[in-house]
Amino acid sequence: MRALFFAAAALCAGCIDDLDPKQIITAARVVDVIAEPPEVRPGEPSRLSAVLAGAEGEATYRWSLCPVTDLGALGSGASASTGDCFTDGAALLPLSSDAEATLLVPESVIAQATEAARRFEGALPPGALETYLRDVGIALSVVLEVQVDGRTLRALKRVVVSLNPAPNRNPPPPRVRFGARWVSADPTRPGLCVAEDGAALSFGPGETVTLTPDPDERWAERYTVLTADGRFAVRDEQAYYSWYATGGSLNGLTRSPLRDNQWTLPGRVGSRSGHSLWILLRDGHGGSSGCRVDVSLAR
Amino acid sequence: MRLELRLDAEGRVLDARVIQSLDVETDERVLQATRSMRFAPAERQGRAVPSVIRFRYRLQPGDPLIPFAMPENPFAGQADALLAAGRGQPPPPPPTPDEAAGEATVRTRRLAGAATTMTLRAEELTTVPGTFGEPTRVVATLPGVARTPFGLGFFVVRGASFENTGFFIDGFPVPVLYHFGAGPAVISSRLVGQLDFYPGGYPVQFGRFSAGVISLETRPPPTDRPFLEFQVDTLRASAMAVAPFDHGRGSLAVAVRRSYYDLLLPLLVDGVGLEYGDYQVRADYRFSARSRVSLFAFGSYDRFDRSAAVGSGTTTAEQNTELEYGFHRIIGRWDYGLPGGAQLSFAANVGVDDTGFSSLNPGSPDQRFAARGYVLGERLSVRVPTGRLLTTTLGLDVLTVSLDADIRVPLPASIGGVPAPVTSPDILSLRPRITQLSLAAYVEESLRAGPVELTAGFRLDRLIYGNVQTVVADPRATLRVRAARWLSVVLASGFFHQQPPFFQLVPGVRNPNLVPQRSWQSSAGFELTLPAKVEARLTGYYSEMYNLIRTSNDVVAGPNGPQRNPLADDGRGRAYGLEVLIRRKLERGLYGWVSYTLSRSERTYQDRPVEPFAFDQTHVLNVALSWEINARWRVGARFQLATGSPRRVIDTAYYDADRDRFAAVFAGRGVAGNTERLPTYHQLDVRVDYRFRWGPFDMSAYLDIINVYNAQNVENWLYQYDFARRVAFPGIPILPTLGLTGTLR
Repeated sequence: MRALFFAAAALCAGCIDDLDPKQIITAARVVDVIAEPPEVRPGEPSRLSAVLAGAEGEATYRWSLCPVTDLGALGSGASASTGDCFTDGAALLPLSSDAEATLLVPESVIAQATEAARRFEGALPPGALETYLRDVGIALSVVLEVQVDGRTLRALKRVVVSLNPAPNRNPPPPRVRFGARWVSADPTRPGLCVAEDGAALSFGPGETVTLTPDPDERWAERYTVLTADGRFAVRDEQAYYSWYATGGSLNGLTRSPLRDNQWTLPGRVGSRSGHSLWILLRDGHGGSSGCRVDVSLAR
Repeated sequence: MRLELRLDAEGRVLDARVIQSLDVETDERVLQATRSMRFAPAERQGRAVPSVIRFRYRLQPGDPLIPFAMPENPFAGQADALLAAGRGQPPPPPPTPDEAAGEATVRTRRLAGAATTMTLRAEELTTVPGTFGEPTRVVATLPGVARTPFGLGFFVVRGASFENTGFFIDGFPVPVLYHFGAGPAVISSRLVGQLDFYPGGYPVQFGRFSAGVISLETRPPPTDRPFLEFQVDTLRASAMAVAPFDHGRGSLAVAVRRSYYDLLLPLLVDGVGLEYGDYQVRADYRFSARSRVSLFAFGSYDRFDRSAAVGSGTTTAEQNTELEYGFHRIIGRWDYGLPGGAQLSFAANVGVDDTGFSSLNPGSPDQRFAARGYVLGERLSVRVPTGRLLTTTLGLDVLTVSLDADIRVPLPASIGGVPAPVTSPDILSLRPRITQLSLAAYVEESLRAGPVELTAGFRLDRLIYGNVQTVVADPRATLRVRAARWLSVVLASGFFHQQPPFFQLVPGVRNPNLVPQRSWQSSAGFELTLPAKVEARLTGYYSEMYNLIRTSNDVVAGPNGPQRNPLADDGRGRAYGLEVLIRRKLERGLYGWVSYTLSRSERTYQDRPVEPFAFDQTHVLNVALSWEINARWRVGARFQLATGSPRRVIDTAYYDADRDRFAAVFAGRGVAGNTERLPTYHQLDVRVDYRFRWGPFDMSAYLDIINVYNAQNVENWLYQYDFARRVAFPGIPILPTLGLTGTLR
C-alpha cells in the first residue's frame, strides 16, 4: 500500500519544480570529504580534507571524531547510528579547526571495538572477531561542520581502522573525456582538472557535452565484507561518479559500466561567462578522489 | 396469501406452511422469504417464548414476490429493518421493485450479536457525493475510519495500520478493494448485495486481520427479464448484463469495466501511464427453497508505469516506477437449509494473485519484485438453533497462499565497513517460494433472552509460514442489552491475530521469523432511536496492539555471528477514541448523517518513547446530506474535516560523504514539540443526479464534483535533496466528473 502512495506521488510531477535539483550548485556545499588514506592501522594518521563547492567567502572548519560505529557506540556497544553524531548530546572529540584535519587513530580503538562486539559473544564462531578486525575493520565517523557564506554545512566521513595488511587506497583523480578532449588532474594545482591538450575548455550556450570517464579501472581493489547474514565475502570496488555543476542540467550520479553523463550547459551566458563542474570518483568502499573543471561559455 | 409460521423465542421463523395458496411459484418464493423474516417474540410472564402465528401476506401488482419479479429473497440484507418491526407485527412491506433492484446495504455490525449496526439503502449508498456512486467508498465516511491520502482505498481503522484491515469478497480475502487513481471498487457495485464494515470486534467467522474487516457479499441484480446496464463517465466505462433462466430459478450475470486513463494521462503528464480493468461472471441457481448454488468468477488488474519519467531529483518521490496488481478468483458456494432451521454453507475458492514493483532510478541498480500467488480456500459453516434461546455456529476456514517470487534487490548493506553511494551495485536475485497456511476452526454461541443478547465466540488458527509454526487463539464476546425501546447498550471485547504480509517474510532480505501481530480490542457504546427517523450511536473503544513490525537496521546475534535484521516485530501500539454517528434514515427522499471520531493512536518501538501513529488524526468529521427534490432531481453534499497526520520534525541534515547523499536528523522521539502535524484537511463535495427516459432506457446523469471550493490541502511534504526546503504535496484539486448510466429492463 505504501507503493500506492508513491504511485499517487508520481502524478504530482509539478510539485517538485520549486525544489532545487541536487546536482546544481547554487550555494556553498560540501560535495565530498576525502580521507588520505581511507583505511589505516591503529596508531597511523589519516588526513581529511573537504571538497567545498560554490563558496564565495572564507570558511571556518570544525572537525570532530564521533564515537559511533556500525557495531554500536565505541566503549558501550549500545545501538547507535551516525545520525546520533549530529544531535545536541553527541559526545564529539575535537580534531581540528583548520581546513584539513589529521585523524590519528588511537591504539585503543581496536580494544574498544572488541568490547563493543562482546554483545555478540557466544554467537561468534571461533576466529570471526579476529577476521573482522583484520579484514573488515572498524569504520570511525568523522564529523565536519563548516561555517561559510552565513550557512552551516554538516558532513560525515568514515575512516576505517583495521589490521589489514593491504589497506584500501583512494582511486586516482578522475580522467574524463569532454566530447573529444580528455581532461585530467593538473599536477600543479591540486583539486583542479584541465584539458590534457592545454587549451581552455569553451562551449556554446545550451550545448550538450558528453562526459565519458576513463574506462580504465584497474585501480579497483578487492575487499572483505561481513554480509547482512553474518558471512565473510569478498567484493570488488566499483567506480561511482558524482557530478555537480554551477549551471545547466546533468545527472547526479553514474556508475560503471554506465559511466557516461551528459551536461547541457546553460542556454544563456547571463551574468557569468564561466561555469564549474565537480567530478567526484568513489570506490564504494570509503575511497574517493575528485577535481573541479572550469569551462567558459562562448558568447 | 395466508401462512402459518412457527417462531422461536427470538422471533426467528423455524417453519412455515401455506394455508391459503396462490400458485406453486409464488408459494415457494414467499416461503423462502419467510426464512429471513424476524418478529418480536411472544412473551409469557415477561419471558420470550416460542409461538405459532397466522400471518397474512398481501401481494400487490408488481410485488417482487410474484413469480419472476425477483429471483432472490427481497428481504436479504433487510434483517435489521425487520428486527425493528413492532412486537407481534408483521414485517414492513417488501420493497418496491425499484428499491429492491440492485439493493446493496452497508453495515457496521456483527453477524449475530450486533455490536454496532448501520444499514444503508441502495439510494443512500450510490448518491453520496465524492464517492462516484461506489457503495464501498461510503465506508470511508463512517466513524472510526481515518482519512487516507487521495482516497487511495486503504482504510486506517481505529488507529490500526492499513494492512491490518482486511477486504473480503464472499468470505474470502482479496488483496485490494479499489482500483488505482481514486478508482472504483474492483467489482461492480451492482453485484454488491451487502457490505459489512466491522471497525473492530469482528465475528469469529473472519480472521487473519488484527483490526477491522470490510466484507462484500455479492448477489446478482434481481430481474425477471434480461437486464442491461452501462455506465460511462470521464474516467472509465462499464457494462453489465443479467439474464435469468429456468423461469427465474437461475441467472447469469456478466460485467466488465475499463478505465481510459491511459488515453487521458499522456495529454496531462509525460511518461506516466495508468490503466485498470475488471470483470465478473456470476451464475446462480436455486434448486429449491432450501438449496441454492452460485459460481462467481472475477478478476481485476491495475498497472501504473512512470518508468519514462524517472529522475525527478527529489528525495522522497523517486520510488516504484512501475507497479502492477492483478488477481483472479473463482468462488463456488452452496447454501442449504437443514431441517429445524439449521443452515449449512460451503464455499471454495481458487485464485491467482500477481504483484509487481520495479524501480529504474538513474544511478541505482534496476530493482524488481514480482510474485505470483496461488490461493486456495475453503469455508464450511453450520448454524444450528440449539435451544429456545441459543444458536450455535460452527465453522472451518482453510486458506493456503503459495507465492513464487522473483526478486532483484540491492544486496542488503553489509555489517560494518563503509557504505557505497546510494545503493549497492551488487544485485541479489532470489526466487523464493513462500507459503502461508492457515487452518482455522471456530464456534460461536448466540444467546438471545428478552432484551439481552450475548454472543461468545472462539477461533483457533493454526498458522504455518516462514520459519514460524504456531497456534493462536482468539476469544471474542459481544453483549447487547436493549434497555428501552429507544436505547441499547453494547459491550464487546476480543483478541485478533494476523500473520505478517508475505513480502516481509522473504529470507535473506526480510525476516521469515516474524511472529503474528496481535491485538486486543474492546468497545462500549449506546444506540439511540430518536424521533423524526433519527438514530444516534456513541461508541468508545480501546485497542492494544502487539508484535508490530518495524524496519530495522539492527545488528543482532545470528547463527553465523552478528547479522543485520531488516525487520523486527517488537512494536507495541494502542489506540482509543470516541465515535459518534447521528443519522437521518432515508425518508421522503432526504437522508444524511454526521459522523465524528475523536481518537488517539500511538506506537512505541524498542525502548523508545511513545509517539503518535503516522496516520493518527485527532478529529475526523464527515457530514453527508442528500435530498431528492422530485422524481428527476437529487442534490447532495458531503463535507470532510480531519486533523492532519503527524510528521516528525527534521532537526537538521548532514551530507554523508561516503553515500553522496543527505540524511535527515529527526528531532528526538516522543519529546513534546518534536512532532508536527500536516495542516487540517477539509473538503466539500457536491453531487447532482438527474433521471430521465431515453427510448427503452432508464437513464441517470450525474455530476460529482470533488473539492468544489478547491481547498489547497496538504497530503505530505516533499523535501529538497538537503532537507533545507520543502513543498506541499497537494491533495486532489477540484475534480468534476460527469457520468451517465443507462438501464434496460
